Amino acid sequence: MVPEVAHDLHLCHHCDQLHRHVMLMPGETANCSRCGSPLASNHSARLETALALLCAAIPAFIIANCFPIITLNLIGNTQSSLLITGVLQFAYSGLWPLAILVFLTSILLPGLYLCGLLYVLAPLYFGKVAPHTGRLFRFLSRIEAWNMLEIFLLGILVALTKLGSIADLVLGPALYAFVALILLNTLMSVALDKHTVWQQIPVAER
Amino acid sequence: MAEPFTNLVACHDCHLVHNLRGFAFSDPRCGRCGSALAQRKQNSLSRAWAFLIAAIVLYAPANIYPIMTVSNFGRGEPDTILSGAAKLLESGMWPLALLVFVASIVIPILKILIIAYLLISVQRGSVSNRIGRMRLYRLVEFVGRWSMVDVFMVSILIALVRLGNFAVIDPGAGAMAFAAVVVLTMLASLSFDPRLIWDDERT
Repeated sequence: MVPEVAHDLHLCHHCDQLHRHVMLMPGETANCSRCGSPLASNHSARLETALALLCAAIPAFIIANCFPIITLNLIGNTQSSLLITGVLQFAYSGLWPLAILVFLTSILLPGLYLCGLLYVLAPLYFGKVAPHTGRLFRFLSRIEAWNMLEIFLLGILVALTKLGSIADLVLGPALYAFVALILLNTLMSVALDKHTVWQQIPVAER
Repeated sequence: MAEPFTNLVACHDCHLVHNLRGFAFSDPRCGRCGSALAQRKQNSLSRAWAFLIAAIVLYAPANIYPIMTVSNFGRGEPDTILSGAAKLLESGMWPLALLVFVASIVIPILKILIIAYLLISVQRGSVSNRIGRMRLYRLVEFVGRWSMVDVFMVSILIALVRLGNFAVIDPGAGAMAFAAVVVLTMLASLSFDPRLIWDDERT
């Protein structure tokens, strides 16, 4: 059951301070009067920007996963690796929970995030709201913290530096796609104004 | 005269504000995203402590068990987090050694200490330095995940160095314990409700 909704009020989600909703001029940001946490902002970046970045991110994601990231060559022995190879190796060595964790944080959740966001934003671009958008967007917001692509990239860099001194390394197409994916993801998170998206989702009162 | 606003709650997911005044049913749900409404995170302190204690318990195995074993012609050389960082330093790659040291040792310890401090300060009803504690919480939320860099590095190494007998890198149990420590501290900080920092003593 849904209680009465107060549309013009805002509670800081860090300190619960009550605020009254105010129209923000473009470029303005509202911060909590008590603890300084950001409440809402009016960026000039629009839905179209986020959607365009998303449409570029999805092919980047597919390439990053389907092609070799790096090929190693050490005295005649060659070994290639996809993004998922590390996951499989953890599994073969018996570290199943770790395999699942790395799979979730570097492949599955980022992929679900992209697809889910497409499902939410594309209809909004045409002025419509797809069914279950509210629940899906809530799920997407929750898995954001577990999207560890940039950290994976840093791990790759450290590994490359460690190996580079003893072996020949060939950077594969997937690595460039991976870097592009991370850049696009970062730009997209800046361009996507969650508050705007939430406001377009209808509230079912009573 | 009835007070207009007596019992406000904001949805934890989409931040839509609801008024529970006069709400006679048992399961209030957000009108926009369906999330269960609650003024504070359920059992925030007990859940956060549970995750934190589990993380502390696993911290020793994470550093004692090797995170990977480098094998050359069958001769294995296990590496713990610390010894891995030391080896980087010996090879002259001190920026990397520093990165691994900070991400895998400094940050997890700091996270555990800061979350423990936040939990204890809230349980003692402390009212001092709320803004500072707020900033610590935001720092922990933001920085915690970066400790996973060591795990991802191992992931790439074990994927690439599979050259038969010549050279093989196998992951160790330490990698799993360490990943568990990172995940548990993340869960601890997600369970902690920062609004508790701002609550006054209830008489």
